[in-house]
Amino acid sequence: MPPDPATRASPWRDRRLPLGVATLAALAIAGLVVPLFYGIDPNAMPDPVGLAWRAPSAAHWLGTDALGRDVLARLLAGTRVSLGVALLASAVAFVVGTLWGLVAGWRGGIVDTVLMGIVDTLLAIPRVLLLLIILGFWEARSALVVGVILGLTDWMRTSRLVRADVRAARTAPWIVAARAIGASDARILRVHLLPVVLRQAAIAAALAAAHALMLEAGLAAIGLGIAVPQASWGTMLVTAVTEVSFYWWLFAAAAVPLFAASAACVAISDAARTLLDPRAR
Amino acid sequence: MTAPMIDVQGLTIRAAGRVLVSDVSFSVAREQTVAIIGASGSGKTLTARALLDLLPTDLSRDAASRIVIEGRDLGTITPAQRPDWRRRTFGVVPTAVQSALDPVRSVREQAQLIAALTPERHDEFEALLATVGLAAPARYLDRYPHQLSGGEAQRVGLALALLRQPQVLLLDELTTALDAISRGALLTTLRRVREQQRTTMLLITHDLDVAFALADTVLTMDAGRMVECAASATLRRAPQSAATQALIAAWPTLDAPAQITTPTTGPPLLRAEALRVRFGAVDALAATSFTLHAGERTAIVGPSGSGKSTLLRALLGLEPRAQGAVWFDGARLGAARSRRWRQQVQWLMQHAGRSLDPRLRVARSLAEARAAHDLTTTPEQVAQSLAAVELDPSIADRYPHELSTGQCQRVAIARALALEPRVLMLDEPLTGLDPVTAAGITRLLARLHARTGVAVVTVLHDLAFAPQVADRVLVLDQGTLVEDAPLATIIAAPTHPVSRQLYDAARAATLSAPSSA
Repeated sequence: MPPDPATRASPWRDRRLPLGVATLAALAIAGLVVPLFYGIDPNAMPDPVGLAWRAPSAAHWLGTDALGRDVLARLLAGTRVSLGVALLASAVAFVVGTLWGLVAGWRGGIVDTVLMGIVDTLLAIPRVLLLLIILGFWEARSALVVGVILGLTDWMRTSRLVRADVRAARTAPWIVAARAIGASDARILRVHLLPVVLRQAAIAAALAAAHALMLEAGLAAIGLGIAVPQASWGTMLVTAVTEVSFYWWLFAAAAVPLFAASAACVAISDAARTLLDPRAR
Repeated sequence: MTAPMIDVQGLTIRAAGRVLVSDVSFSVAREQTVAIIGASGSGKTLTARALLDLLPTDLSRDAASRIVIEGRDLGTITPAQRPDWRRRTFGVVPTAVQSALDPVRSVREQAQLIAALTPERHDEFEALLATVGLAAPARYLDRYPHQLSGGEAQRVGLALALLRQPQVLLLDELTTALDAISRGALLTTLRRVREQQRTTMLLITHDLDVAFALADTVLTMDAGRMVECAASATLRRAPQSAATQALIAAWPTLDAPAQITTPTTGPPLLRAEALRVRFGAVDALAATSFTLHAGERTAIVGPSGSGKSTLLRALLGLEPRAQGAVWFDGARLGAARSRRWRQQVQWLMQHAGRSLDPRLRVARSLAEARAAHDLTTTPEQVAQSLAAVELDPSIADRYPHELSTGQCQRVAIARALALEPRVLMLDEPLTGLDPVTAAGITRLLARLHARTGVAVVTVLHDLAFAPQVADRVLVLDQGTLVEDAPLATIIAAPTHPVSRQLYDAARAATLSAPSSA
């Protein structure tokens, strides 16, 4: 029985998606556009002693930090960096994980055994430990390095999900039919299998972004995050956390957007779960 | 006169404002058998589910409708009492029994769940298994559902349903997946069950033969309405409603007019030479040789498990264990078929609707098949393809799940023909279709054959459909080709015992000769 067109799910009827996208879009605009109009250098220290720990005022909307730097300027710069790191990590995990899982699932046999053996081995090592080992190689870690490394330690789950989907779908009647019709392997992978695995991969990618946001802050706390004086939500949180009882706005300035962005990623991931189901279209 | 076992008055079922079943009233007397017939989607199963008070949650029964079972109004049974009431009253064998059985429990364990198997009850269950036609019942007790064939699962389901001595036996499309021979055997079983158990039976079926052979009263549904209700013999002799007439007219008869015989001269288009498939020590297909000429229409007929689909898959190069040679157009084919060959020989798997990618719209599916062979597709070509299989071109932007089974089947045929093949191979194209839809497909295939001259190979488990789709019949039994003859010969004088059996089963299922119940 064909479903009534009126009851078909519209992407925007699920409120989680617009909320999540709007939150991230607002943060992205704040990080990319607002600094063009807010002309204070986030790293400038005109008077490290005299200007330190200022409360919010007309001159410094969010006050100043321990070194007299403008908190709003640092927040805007940090937003750009933190979101960039999350996006990069999520993209790396998405691409590597999807390709890895596609190849393993489609080829099967020894290729599958070897590729998935590598995944299982990597998954057996706690991620933070893996990060400690790898990030230790760099003296001064740029946002680029942290983003790529976060991605390279988070693609394994994606690859397992993708592989499982491919294994299940490769004997699906429409795949067998596509083979019988004479479609090439590349064509079957691209047209028939990629859309199947994208659902899980997209859900995993949104979650990977949320994890990357949190881990960036966590790494900053143990001194293995993005090198100072580069501002990020993580580095700002770490410098603010010791003084939180006196200068709470420093902490809130980084904690609120970090929380909002993570929640937005999780919301988008949840919404993707329902929206990418072909039967809900 | 005693009160009827089931009494339904003004049953109306709605879903989100649409009326699915409208004002259905009927009653079933004790120990009577009533069959509800009708095309797919006519509301047969919904009506049955309403009796059990098991409607899908998004559907609702109108408050005005009244269902009385064993003198008890359904409305007076509290939700807490319902499971127990259902268990005591009904024995249900749903469609696709195999998937309704618990996959992780053996037959014995499932029986234990239904009724505590004391030693006496245990013997009783074994006797029931024998009654439903499972010889040596002890062999089945420790099997799991996946170790049962379709026919065996059906019988186990029936025995489980009978175990509680239900007041009403509800059988939903019991014969839909069975070959003609097993179906005949199951009919005999049901007659015996009815005599021995004296149950009231409600059959939901689009198999007219089953309905007329078993039911005292037959009720026709069409688009959610009850359009006719009469004694079985009366309805069969003189159907009043257009829906019943259409169902009866669509039912296959072996007397269908012979089609124009297709040419079998010249070099063969396709030739199989000692084609053989071994599954371990078993020959799923013993060395088989036959030829197919351009434009020829051939049916491969045999009981379930006789190797029909295996033969098709071996021809198609989809069976890695196949040995022997296949020649096409004078050239021997390698193990891997070329793309060019794949374009020329098109295959429709069983339940062809499922061969459509659920994520692609119809137009995209058609275009994809052509793109695999570097052919471009215009919207006009899509519309033409759909028109050729008698579908409205507006379905081009629908997804498969928005189409009916019959429509999906037609889209799959359109997709195969969009590649302009020289051979079309169909695996059980009529399985699971109601008679009207099935007749529509066979008529379509005949017309397409006449227009395009494509050679058609059709796998069937029922000889009754062969006259409409073939001029020649290959009969398979236990992996062996036992007869290869023109259709007329098979119908007039089948030589091999299995051909004879298939013929008799098909003959018995036709409506021409009324059988005594």
